[in-house]
Amino acid sequence: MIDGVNRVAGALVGGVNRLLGSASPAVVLLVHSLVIALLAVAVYALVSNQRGIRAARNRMLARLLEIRLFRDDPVSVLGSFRRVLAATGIYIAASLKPLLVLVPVVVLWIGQLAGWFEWRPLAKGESVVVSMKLRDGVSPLAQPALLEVPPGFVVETPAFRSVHTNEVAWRVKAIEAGNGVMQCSAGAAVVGKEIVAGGSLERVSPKRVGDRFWDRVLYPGEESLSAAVPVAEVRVDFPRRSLRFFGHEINWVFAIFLASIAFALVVKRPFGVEF
Amino acid sequence: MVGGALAFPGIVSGAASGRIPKVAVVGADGMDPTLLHLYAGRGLMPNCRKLIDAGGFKKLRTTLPPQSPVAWATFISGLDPGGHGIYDFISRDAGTVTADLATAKTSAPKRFIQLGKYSVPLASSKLQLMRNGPTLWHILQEAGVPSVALKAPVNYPPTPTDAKTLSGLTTPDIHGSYGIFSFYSTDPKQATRDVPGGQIEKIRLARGLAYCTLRGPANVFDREHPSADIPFTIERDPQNAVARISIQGRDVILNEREWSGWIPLSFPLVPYLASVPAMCRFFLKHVRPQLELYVSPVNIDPADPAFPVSTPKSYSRELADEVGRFYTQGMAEETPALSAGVLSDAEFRQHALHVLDEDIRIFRSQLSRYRDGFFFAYFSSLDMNSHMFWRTIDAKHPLHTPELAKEHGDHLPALYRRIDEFVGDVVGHLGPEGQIYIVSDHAFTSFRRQFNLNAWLLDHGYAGLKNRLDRDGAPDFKNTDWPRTRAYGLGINSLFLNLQNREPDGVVKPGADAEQLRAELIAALTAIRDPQTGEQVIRRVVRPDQVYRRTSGGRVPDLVLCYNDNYRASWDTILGGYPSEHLLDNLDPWSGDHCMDPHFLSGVLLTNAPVHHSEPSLEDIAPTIISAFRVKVPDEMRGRDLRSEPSAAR
Repeated sequence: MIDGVNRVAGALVGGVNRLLGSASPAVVLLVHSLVIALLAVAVYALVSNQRGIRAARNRMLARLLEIRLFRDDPVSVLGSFRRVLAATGIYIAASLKPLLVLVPVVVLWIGQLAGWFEWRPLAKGESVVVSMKLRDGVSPLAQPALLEVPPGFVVETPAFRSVHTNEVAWRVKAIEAGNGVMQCSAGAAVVGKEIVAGGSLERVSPKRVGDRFWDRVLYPGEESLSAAVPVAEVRVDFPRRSLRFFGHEINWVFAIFLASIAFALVVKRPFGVEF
Repeated sequence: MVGGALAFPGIVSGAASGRIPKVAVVGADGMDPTLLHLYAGRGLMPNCRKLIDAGGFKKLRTTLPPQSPVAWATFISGLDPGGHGIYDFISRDAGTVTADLATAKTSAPKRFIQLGKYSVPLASSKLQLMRNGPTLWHILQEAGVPSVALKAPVNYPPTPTDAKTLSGLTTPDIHGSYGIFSFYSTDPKQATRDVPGGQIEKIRLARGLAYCTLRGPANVFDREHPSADIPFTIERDPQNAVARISIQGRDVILNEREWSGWIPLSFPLVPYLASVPAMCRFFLKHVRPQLELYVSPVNIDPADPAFPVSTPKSYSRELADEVGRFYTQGMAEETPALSAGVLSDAEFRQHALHVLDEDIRIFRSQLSRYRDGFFFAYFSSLDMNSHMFWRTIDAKHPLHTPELAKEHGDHLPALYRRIDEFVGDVVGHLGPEGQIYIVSDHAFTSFRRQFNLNAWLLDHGYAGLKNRLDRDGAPDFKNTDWPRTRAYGLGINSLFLNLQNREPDGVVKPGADAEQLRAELIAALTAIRDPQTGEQVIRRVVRPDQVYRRTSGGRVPDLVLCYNDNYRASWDTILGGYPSEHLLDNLDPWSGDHCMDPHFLSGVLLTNAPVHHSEPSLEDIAPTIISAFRVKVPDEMRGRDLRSEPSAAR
């Protein structure tokens, strides 16, 4: 099921990015922040107890004013602190329902965006390590291992086999822009793994993973590997993408978090929604 | 800049009559005039050949001593060594008589707050460039002339300027040295030890895997200042000639005899709070029978510089974004590794070509953006490779063999040809109205025999040892009996008197006593003959105060030794050792040199601009270039504008 959900989320994120064409990564990131903000407002509008949230926020504000007003009276201040905590608990409880809906959607969305913003495609002439991790009990020395790459890529090393990490690894170089699927063989089993090279904003899948739930959420770029093959995962160490705003490097998750909050604060008023 | 614009309106107005000229300088450290003519004559250097044929070649008088930091400091400041304050590669603190880098000084913070095992400095370390005087590109930029200086020598830390500059020669590695390599080997014949310019570590393999440590900079946040090391592993494939290096979550897979690209590193100082970014390259020398891995000196990362290497500070990052990471270490060619036998001649060549490729990539990218103003690009390749491969072209060098000449005799010509190709790029980019200057700071000659100055001083009663039985085993003057020492050699050409009120245990009275001792040493040193060849070892000994315009400060040597052709100070004597022999063959691959008498080591001036003066010198270059932009030459610069008619000279 998770593969199906990933496919839908991937189509949506990819659709937004295709609509934006050749816009800069920073602009694309801002658009996704706006989408997340609109989604958050919609979810709060539809599933939250707006009256409860408003009342809890008002109570929190009132208790904070109490602390300010009676700051010379320690007993009153302590009581107000207790009431602030209680109001906060009520506020969190009122926000729980929309958050339960919102958080999984945002996590899936961020998981998809990671393929665009956490890593970048290889540059022409750049090399990368491709590692095939075998399942426990399958020795890399007992399996003849082979890597076939699509046109535009070359394998630069013979197979490196590690008995310590149960992996077979190669170094692959991009000789021109393009993408395709590598064929990684372990014995009779063959699994595919995407590889991509080029300068534009393109989706990158750093890992094709097995059937662990969180692996599949965090690396949703490709279908998970069948439990029948001796390969646990295939990893491509794509370079990290560097995202700059006005000359300063920033973390894309942090940027999307801040921008989403900023957009949400702006758009909540026209929709009459309270957080 | 406004002041400059008012002072030189023709330069910055953009008026038709005041268009900014185009002047480019290719700094070719160590380009030898004889080899230039030889290779140009063979057709290897067609672009330089055209300039020579047009009458653009002159021998360029070098500095005393003709060492690269001294000479390039003169080139960029227009001052003699007494003016710019760089007298040798190595300097010494007169108060402690300890050797130090002559060009930059780091002062550690003095006050700390102690928090458990941590020690928080209350101020940052101070990094100070020891060269005096403004640079020629700063003077030009201030006058409104756009200026770029790439791999600028003797400019670390870079002096503040609006010009775009990238530091070159004398930029240290992350340890603050001229470069310390690391070598890991399972070879039972190897032992963990420090060697000059590097460290060798014996490692053990367990099922094909070895655990190693890459030494980092001193951790100033730790009370005991241990080095901030990075652990890593090397694992070899059970059969294939390939290995994997895993360091800080990054895997590098290398074939045998293959270099990696630049690997970014982060040396941890305080977990999650402070670290030092840097970078290194790996070379997998052997996979079996012995696993051997070479790690380059850890360089300052231009994409994330822990210490400034450019102006503006972001410029090095812009360059790295454009052309990829590159060596920031000033002497990028890893000569200590070849001297230590860790890299072979072929491996060193491969690495040296990579350094040149990196330089050319940077220079071409910036040349393509250059429109007018001043453009300077510095190459270290000819110098460093001539040092290491002179034995391939000097049949009388002790390490010369016909096989060596056959195998590697094509290396230096190939490098000269590559520099010529870049000269062609520059000439083409400048067009007919541009001026190009190809400048080398000194020529080259063979380094066949080495002289142990301190040993000679010891055996002739000018120095004393605390333990005479241990004269070979204690470098850095550790064994020196200062109350019985009247003179000592430190650096390649420098000799100091142990002066009262200057050195901590000074015994020579300043004034008449010192003068008498200097005269005595000059006579004795110039009288030394090599018993093997009968040749004079030291041609001249010079009093700096008689040749430099000023000699202030305690760093100026009391005497400068001008060695004869083929002779030079030994490696042991430079840092204060007292080996037993006075003269011996130089059996180090570092076989070519230029730290001799400047009279026979003039460099190269090759230009398409008119040169109306005879015997041009390095001091003339800065005034000539500044004048080419019609900018006023500072009064401190005493050189001539070589383009002016002699009668019009200042």
